[in-house]
Amino acid sequence: MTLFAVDALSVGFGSARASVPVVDAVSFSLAKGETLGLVGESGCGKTVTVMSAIRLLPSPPAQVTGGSVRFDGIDLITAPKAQLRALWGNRIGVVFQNPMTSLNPTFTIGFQLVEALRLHRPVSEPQAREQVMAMLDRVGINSPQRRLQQYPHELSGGLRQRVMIAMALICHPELLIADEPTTALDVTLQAQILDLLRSLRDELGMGILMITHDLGVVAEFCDRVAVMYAGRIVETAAVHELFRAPRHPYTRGLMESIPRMDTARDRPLATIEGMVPAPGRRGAGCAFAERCTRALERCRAEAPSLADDAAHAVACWNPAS
Amino acid sequence: MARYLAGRVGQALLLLLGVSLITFVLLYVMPADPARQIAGRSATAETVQVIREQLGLDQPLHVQYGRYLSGLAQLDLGRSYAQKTEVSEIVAARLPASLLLMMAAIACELLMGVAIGVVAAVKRGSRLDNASMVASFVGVSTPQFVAAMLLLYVFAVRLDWFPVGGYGEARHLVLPALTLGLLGAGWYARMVRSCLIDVFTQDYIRTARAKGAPEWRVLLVHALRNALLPIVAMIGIDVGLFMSGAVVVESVFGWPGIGQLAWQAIQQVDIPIIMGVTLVAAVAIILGNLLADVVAPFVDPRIKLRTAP
Repeated sequence: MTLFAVDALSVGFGSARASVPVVDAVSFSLAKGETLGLVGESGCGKTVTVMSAIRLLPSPPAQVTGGSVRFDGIDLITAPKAQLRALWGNRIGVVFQNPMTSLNPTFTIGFQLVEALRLHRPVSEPQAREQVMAMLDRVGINSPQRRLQQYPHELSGGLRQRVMIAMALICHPELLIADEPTTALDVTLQAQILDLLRSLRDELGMGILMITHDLGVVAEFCDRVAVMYAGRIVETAAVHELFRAPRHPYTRGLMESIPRMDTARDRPLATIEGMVPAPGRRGAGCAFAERCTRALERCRAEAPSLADDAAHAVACWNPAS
Repeated sequence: MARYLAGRVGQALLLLLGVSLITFVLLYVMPADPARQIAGRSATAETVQVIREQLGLDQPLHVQYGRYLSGLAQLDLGRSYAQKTEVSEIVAARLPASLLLMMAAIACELLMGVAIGVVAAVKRGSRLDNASMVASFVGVSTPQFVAAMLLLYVFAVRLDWFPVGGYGEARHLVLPALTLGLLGAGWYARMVRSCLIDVFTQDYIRTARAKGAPEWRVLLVHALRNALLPIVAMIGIDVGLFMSGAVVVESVFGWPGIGQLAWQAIQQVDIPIIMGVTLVAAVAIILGNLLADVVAPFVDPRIKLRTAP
């Protein structure tokens, strides 16, 4: 049963006349209770894709220039604002990348959490506080009573991200969007937060869309992966399949550039040569062709499309087998 | 908090001492002769000399200042040369009018300035935004007497809605408060607009939207609260400014406040009154700033009051 389906979504930035394409016909879908990882390096359009799909990206400057997005049968692209607001924070929860700046510095944790609940549930203030404390307890924050009175600046980064997660989950959403939830945290905290998300996912049965540039997070956490490069999805597969046999040269490059314990110390770290082409400077061919070691004549002339409906789809003219 | 306040009061006393010294010296070196002013044009040189000796104006500067300070220590501001009454009584009689005008003016500029600033920030780049920014620019650059005269001409002379001047009823308050308020609103509008535009780009605003909060709530609760701190600081400045600097407006509208008293005292070279008014002005400015600083931690919980090391 499909919960969230993005179909050929294109997003541009700028005015209607001079729009620079940033996301180009991206499609993916997420079943109920499934976890999909959207991977790619910084600036490849992961966040823009997802935030514009759920209409949280301010428009202007961002503009959806094509495609459709469905959440449980609701067309999000054409949905009126009131309908979107009824979904946001309620059936769709979002955890943002930077917990240090994502909480309002002038309100207490309690105020911000109670607000998140009461915007969607007709509960009284004391009832809301009860539920909020239960949720804080669930995300592993001890002495929730005291935390409610505190301001964000009195909490550490790890605690703040737990508060953000509690806020996103307070209405038990069916879809959780986690935009690099662990990137701003140190490594021990990363593991804790991922463990927390995993147990909450199993408990609440929600679908998670995990935006990340960290293949380690994907390997540990996701059911399926979609790899993005320069505004397009270049490869999608089940996690074990992708790690077992990556086919797109970009995916392979990403995996080879992960430092490993068993490589010789004097060997230089593997990198992908060159830079991601800037939006608006992508030619007719495959956007990765310039940096690709397997590029053919055809790659520079014609952009490959992602094979549809395949368990392991790849957008490449010369994929590794 | 008590330690903080004690420190601030100590600072304030030093500041007041400095202000009184500077004012005293300035008035001493001033070419006008208060004794001659009191005695009148036709008085003989002897009479003027007698008055000068009576007031102690023949003494050297440091003796005069010492006498003034010892009086001040006993809360004695001296006696007015012109009115022959205690300066403290005269000033106290003028305070309510100035306080009233100050509060009305601040309420006026807050209401208009914040409203215009919020609308301009939300509709940024629109014609409404451009128009309100031009209007606020005119506001911040118009001299008070020009605005006062314009309002007088339109609303008192032409339309006859409000009296030309005077004091005692609510209708007397409207034009002077509006003069100060309209001009002040320009500052508030520009500041609120730029603060809000900055706040709109913050991550926590996106978080508020992601919670499903309606747009008015995002704006008036989440954003405005974060733009409040500079507003509070400006109110603090205006408290001091309007208590001391409403000279022009009070004179134009015949408003019997501190500003008008200062204007009259300067014309009459009534040194004790000038000294008293200057002191009141200094106290008002210090209190206004202190007020803003004490309120700040309630507006932004990240601020903690601490005495300077």
